[in-house]
Amino acid sequence: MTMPNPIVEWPSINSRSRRLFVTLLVGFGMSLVGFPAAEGADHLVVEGAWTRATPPGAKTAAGYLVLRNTGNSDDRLVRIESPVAETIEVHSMTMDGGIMRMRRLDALLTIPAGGEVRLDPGGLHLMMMGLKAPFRQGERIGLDLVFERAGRIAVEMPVVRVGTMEPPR
Amino acid sequence: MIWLRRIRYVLWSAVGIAGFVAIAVMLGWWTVDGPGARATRNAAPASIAEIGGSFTMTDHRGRTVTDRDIRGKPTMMFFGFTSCPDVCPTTLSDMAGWLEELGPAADGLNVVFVSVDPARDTVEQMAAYLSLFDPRILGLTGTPAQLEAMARNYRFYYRRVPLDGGGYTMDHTAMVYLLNQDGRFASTIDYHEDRQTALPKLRRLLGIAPAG
Ligand SMILES: [Cu+2]
Repeated sequence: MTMPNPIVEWPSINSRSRRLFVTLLVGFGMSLVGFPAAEGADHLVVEGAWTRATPPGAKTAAGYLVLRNTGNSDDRLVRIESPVAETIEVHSMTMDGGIMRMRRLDALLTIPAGGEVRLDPGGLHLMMMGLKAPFRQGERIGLDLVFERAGRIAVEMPVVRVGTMEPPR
Repeated sequence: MIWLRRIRYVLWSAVGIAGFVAIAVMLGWWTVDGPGARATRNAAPASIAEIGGSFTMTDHRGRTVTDRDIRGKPTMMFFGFTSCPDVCPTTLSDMAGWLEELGPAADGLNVVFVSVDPARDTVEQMAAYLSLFDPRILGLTGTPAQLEAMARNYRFYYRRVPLDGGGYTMDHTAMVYLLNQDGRFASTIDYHEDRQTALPKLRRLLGIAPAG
């Protein structure tokens, strides 16, 4: 990374305080850019999680969220755990010629360095199968996302009205 | 000048590669999407005029329903299954919303939800599931043979797809069919088509003037 060189002419300041100043300036600049970012659990941000109320007797639900990777290396979603369902997988949904198809992702979901992956209605979703109980509007569903690098992140999904297509505000 | 000759080689190879890619893409399009594509069986309606005809199914109250029971009124028909987490509940909820906006005129419309998953969608399961939506929505399920016969006449697609972790899901036609009062195909409402276009289609089907 290149930083603008702030030392051009500083005739009135002695060299030690000048060096200190430059160090602070560079440090401040880097903190703004976020480099070098500490690679910890905090490079992965999970936002805007939500799911819908399920009709009585329904054994499946779809969960939606945004995964944002602020770090410098890709990360991958290894598994999803929750007591509310028997299995939770990442599925894709496609609509082609009026035919809806849903498939489990072949590979682990990768969240690219500095990028984000959106799970939205009509596309990728957390597929929760074998629900222990219906999701009721107003509840919050807890689940754990386990990432290769970021480790375990707990997420709460508010349950909104059936038929909703937009994340709740 | 050797390097000039090299540049010429490089450029000509680039032209060659570009040409190859262009031909490959053309061939790919021709066989997959283009005129060379093989027609998919039982997929999109081959001839929409042929959609419709007889069926015998069981509704979510356990009564036998045939095509004769939906004659005399136009019909809005959707195909799905109760273990479908996104398209099915969303479309049923849309359909309930359209009924609400149509007001009393909606009583002139049959609204039918056909299960493509008879193994799991029993009469009781359909009844429980539909209790969340408008009570005017009629759920239909049946034996695998009854469903197959109906799919042949109404040209909707469904296929059972095993999931790796056990269990299965269903691929299925996710368009809403609109049938006229003689039970013949009139039009479709696509998945998440705008209300602005869905409602006029329904009003036209019902033969009522647009509101406002
Ligand atoms: Cu799914």
